[in-house]
Amino acid sequence: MTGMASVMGLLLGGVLTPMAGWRWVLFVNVPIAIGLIVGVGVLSEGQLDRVRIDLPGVITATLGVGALVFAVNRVGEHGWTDGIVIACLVAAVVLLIGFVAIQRASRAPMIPHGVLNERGRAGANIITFVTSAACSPRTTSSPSTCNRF
Amino acid sequence: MTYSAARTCFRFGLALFGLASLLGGLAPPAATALILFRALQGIGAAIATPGALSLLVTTFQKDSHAPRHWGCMAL
Repeated sequence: MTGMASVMGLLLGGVLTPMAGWRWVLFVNVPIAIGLIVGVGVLSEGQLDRVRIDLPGVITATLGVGALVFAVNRVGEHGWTDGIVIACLVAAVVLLIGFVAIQRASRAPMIPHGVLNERGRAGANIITFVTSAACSPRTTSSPSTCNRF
Repeated sequence: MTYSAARTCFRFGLALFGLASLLGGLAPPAATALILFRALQGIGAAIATPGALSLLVTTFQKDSHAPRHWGCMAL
């Protein structure tokens, strides 16, 4: 559903904006959110094992990806030789290598050991990665391209 | 994490996301308010998404078709 939703969201946004105005791209979320808040009540009860939060993993992953995205965003205006761009790229590499090391060493990692060896989950993750890689650049590149006009 | 905690997390995130969407839609033409509400949408989505994944795990935990559910979630 994640992949389909990403694609449909882009297409519907493209239809809604010229037809009803950009505000409706935001308003359309309201009934969907209300429907889901109510609808989630029909799910049957289940139980999750109590797990510890992998704080080092969460911090390194979030800051690493954040630094990478910030650096790539900044390249457009300041170029690859900009000091902050280089610093952020170096930080991203160090943090993400640290993340992998933490995941391997931790007893309660954010990504449980062996979970990516399960074919179903590995496939699901690959599909999410590919659809996000295809759709997300639109949401960042389109505004910056439009701003030039 | 319990099922009800995951559901509360999902609902709270969605409520924040919906409210931020509504306010963003009503925002004045100046960019500042819209950027603020978009950030709030991001926070709401960041709370709702782990809740959604936890609900998926708790609902289909003892189901042998669990990989299929993950596949459906991804597609």
